[in-house]
Amino acid sequence: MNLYFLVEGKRTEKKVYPAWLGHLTPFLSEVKRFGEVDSNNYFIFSGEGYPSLLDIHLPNAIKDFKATEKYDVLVVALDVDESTPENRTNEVVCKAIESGLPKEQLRIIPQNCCIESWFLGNPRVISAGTQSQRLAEFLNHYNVRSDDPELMPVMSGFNTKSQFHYEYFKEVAKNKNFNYSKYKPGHVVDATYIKELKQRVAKSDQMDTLGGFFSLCEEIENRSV
Amino acid sequence: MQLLSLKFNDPQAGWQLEEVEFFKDITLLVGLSGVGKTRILDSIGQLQQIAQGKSDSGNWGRSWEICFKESGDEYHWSGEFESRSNGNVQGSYFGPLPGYAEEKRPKPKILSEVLMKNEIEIARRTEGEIILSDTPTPKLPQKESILHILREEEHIADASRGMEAILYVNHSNEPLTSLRYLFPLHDWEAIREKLKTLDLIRQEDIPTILKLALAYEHCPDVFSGIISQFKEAFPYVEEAEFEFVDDGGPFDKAGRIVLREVGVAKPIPEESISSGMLRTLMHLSRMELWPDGTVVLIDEFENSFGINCINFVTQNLVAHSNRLQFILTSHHPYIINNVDMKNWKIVSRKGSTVSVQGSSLLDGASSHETFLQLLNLPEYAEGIAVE
Repeated sequence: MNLYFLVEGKRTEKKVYPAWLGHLTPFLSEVKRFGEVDSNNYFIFSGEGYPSLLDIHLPNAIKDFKATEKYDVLVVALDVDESTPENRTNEVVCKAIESGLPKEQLRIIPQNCCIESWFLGNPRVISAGTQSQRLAEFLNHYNVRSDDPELMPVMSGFNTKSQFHYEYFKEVAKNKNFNYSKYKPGHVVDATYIKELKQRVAKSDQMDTLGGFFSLCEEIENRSV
Repeated sequence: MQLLSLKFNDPQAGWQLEEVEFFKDITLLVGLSGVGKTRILDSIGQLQQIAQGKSDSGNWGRSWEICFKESGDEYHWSGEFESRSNGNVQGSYFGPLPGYAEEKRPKPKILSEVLMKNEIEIARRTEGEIILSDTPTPKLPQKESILHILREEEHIADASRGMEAILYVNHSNEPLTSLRYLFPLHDWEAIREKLKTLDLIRQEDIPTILKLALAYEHCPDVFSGIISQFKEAFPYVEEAEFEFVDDGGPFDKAGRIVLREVGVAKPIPEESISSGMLRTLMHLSRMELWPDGTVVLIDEFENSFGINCINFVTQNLVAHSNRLQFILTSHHPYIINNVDMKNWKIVSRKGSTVSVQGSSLLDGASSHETFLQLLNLPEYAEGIAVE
């Protein structure tokens, strides 16, 4: 099975998805040029945070996807931001169909509300002991250990949910003695990290969109066997 | 001149450039911030200074190899400055330290230097001795390059002239509102009498704004051509002209450019024109008023160009690349998208060693915008590595 990933974000997704796929679907290997795809490969292309993912980058990705005739599935991963997973999914489906991609070849991973929301789902990364005042304020506003990080509302003083989730996770990382940045995501790419996230999804009805990503990985595994 | 390749080593600054080859028309240097794109342009600029015989306290330990074509011949010029014996005094890449004037700083001798023309050695310097066409010369200055001190010699004159044909456009240092200081009237009268044709204006090594004033005086067709292009980017401009005003300073009168705009009653003098507009005018003037074969170095080409003219100046530059050789740096999507990817060179750095490679992973088959394809290349995205 061959997959073409179109991701929205700057550097994070291009580091995190290959790492996570390496843990979850180790039989897949990455190709660096879309035309090099052969068998059990994936190619990942990032919109690098530039606008027009739906209007420009998605139609272009579909052209590349179709031109090679070797890809089975196009995966679009994008932030939900202030929208809803359903709305973001519908937007992608409409645009993909407009560009001539059959729905059965399309998988959408809405990141609700951004990829840092997913990272916040690891309860072990939140220090139980000494916390900075800032982290204590964040936890007081919304406790991501017990409540669904994907549903966390913005805290006053922040412009957007995504901005707040990002800052929240940065603070969590700082309290756990590692630096997190879009360019250097740090421990989130580790196998133990993804294991914790999988457990949380399995044991609760939380983190719906992250669960969608895990389901996709299972589908890949089943179809590749 | 056509710049073919360059190798440069600056041990004081801890910076080494592996051999980079340049395209005949446009070389667009792309890469993450901090990989060393600007330093490559600086190195070419420093070599021009060395070719002009100018000493610089930053030259300690520097070595270079540069290949270029001039008047149909291929030159290979290499050399090395002496190193500091104590090795603990930092170079002056960022200019002399405050309170310690550059002229007082010690300058290095050139230890070795070779000039080859079409693979035949023309001149060599070793251990203080210079051999010109197999003949030792009398003792000559040791801190000035053979390209400078022997510039009158046959076989060297063309090489020396070639290295003159480099124009380094640095937007952050470009004087814009200093036109009045660039041509006080008494100089102006003399130069106006001397340079009366487009060819003479192009050949003279003077600031572009002065060339534009001369075009206004002597080549109205060329001037109006530049202004009509300018009006494409700024359609509300009606007219542009030079005027001479009482400066109140030491020069009696001085020249300045003045724009007239639709719906604006008073003419707009140079000092009130926006920097973006002036830079666009200077860019268009440069394209017309520098001679064929000039190597134009432009750092961060997009700087100060507004969104309404960046497309225009990029297309204009591409159109002139059959006459001028451009070596540019840019981060701007529009510029990168509009320069053919075969003209890209991706700059990366490992520790202090900078290397430049072609865009090997780009085969032109993808439908994505070329700028985004570049950003997705591993050699771009991972362009800075630790040793």
